[in-house]
Amino acid sequence: MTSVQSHLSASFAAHLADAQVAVEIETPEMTLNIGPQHPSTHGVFRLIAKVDGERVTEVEPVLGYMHRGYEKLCEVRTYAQVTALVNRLDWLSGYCNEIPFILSAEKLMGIEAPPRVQYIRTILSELARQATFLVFLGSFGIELGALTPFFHTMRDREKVLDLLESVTGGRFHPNFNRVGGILDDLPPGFVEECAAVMDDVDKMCDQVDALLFGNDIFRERTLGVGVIPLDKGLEYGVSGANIRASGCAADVRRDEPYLVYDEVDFDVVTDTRGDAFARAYCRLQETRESTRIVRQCLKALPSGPIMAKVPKVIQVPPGEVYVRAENPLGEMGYYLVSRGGRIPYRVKVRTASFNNVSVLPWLLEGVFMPDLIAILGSLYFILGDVDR
Amino acid sequence: MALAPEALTARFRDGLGESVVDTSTAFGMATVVVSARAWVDALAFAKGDEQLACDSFSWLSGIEWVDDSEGDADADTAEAAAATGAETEEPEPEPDESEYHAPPVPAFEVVARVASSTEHHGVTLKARLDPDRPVVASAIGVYAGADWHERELMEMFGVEVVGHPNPVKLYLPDHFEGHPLRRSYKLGAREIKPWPGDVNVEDMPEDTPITEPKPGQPK
Repeated sequence: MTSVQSHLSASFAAHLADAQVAVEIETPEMTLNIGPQHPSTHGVFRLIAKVDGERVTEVEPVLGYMHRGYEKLCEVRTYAQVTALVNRLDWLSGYCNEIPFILSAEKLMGIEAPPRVQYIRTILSELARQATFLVFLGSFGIELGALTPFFHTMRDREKVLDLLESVTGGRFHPNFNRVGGILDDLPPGFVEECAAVMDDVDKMCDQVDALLFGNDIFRERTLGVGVIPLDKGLEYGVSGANIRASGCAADVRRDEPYLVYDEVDFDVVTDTRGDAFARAYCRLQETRESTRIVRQCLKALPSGPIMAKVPKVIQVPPGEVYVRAENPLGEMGYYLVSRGGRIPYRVKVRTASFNNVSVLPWLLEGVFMPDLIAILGSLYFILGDVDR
Repeated sequence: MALAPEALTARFRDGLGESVVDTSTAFGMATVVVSARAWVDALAFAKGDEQLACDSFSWLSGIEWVDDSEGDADADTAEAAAATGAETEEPEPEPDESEYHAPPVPAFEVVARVASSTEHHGVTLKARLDPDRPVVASAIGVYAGADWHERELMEMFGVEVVGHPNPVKLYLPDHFEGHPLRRSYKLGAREIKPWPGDVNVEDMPEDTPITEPKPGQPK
């Protein structure tokens, strides 16, 4: 052995010894601030994490950067004006936010929208769901280092948004529903265009399935990461794909059918693993189920009026009702209290993201730092939906 | 098996006895009002009872009932019916359910919604608190998810939640004064500038048809 070699191996041994020591040394607890601006939080959300080396020991979410006081604002607006507000809760699926509010007002008034309206509402809700999930499938990849799927999913999402825009005039904030009906009928040629886009979305799902979910790095980063046990999830009110990935077949569309979900055939996608991978995979399959629903609705679309007979001035008789819907992010509902008149007396907005995020302090305790991003991304929350 | 609203309220009456103050199945929603003292017990009953099996916590919030500008609710709707009834056909407002009745004002209600993931039914639980000094026990022991909802209830309504482990503000800055969702808390924007100009919904006279174009507005 030459002297150089022996020197090298000696220094290597010394390094090894150092490394050995470093592992055993108690690392000081550090406070790491994540956000308020971070791509994986989809809005202004801040986490104060206490970390011990690579391990997160405690997490404190800080909310309120986007709190706009919607519940207060609803108390000084007419029912028609409120739909414009609630579009901005979960801004990726603005159309879906209108549905439970309008349904709750219709329920108190005893109005039922005509069948054509119900079908169009269902189609548009599902289109908004697809647009939201396509953003997720793209952005979740980015958060874990896979850049390519994003461009593909965003391209097809644009087609879905074009459809929404062709009907409502708005890509994100349609403000299209009225008590008892909708603003306008479908534009000519919509049915054919929509069917073509559904084929594109299905094709996209197959591609993402192979590209992202078949990727080894992606699987390593997500499988077994951030497992939400079923009982914990339910206790925190976690909903949507997040709870279905934990093995609970809860879907408002099937449990408490609204619009025409009792007339279409679709599967409630569940998984038993409860980890980040399962949550993402559920969303992918739900996108496919969603195109299935749209195709059936397009086929069964009845003709008829797009507005029920409603008074000129919308006055809701006294009453209280809670109406919920299955939004892309989970269960969304409005507890509407009316004392008569044109203005709601109190509107409690139950958003999916708020409950989904409230599980974070419990869920993130003890996870590794890189997993934190995977977990945040896989829960898929929108800050407008958390802060309200 | 999902229970009908009537069966749900009956189950609460059986299980909780005199703690149940009021029940309602108006609009197909099971509502159970319990005494403030039995608040946590009622939630625990909803969760633990085999038939109810409400394992999923949905939300928790409050409603403040005051005698405010809207005036008497019934008179208001009667007026409205007189104003609009002549030209439009009012649809049947009440479905075939038991009658809805609001609590006598002033009142403060804490409201929680819990549901069953296996039975697919849900129930709205309420407790009436002292409107001047609302105090309620924390439900975190039963549903861990009540944590943030109770923090919101505290800052927005000024309710004292006894036994909350972390009673700090959730949304509002620490130095914020007042409780924004109280009826007495005026919306700042509306105080400075009436909204939106001459179509403020609060001031619009009842007999003005909303379709009539305003001067200067395109027809």
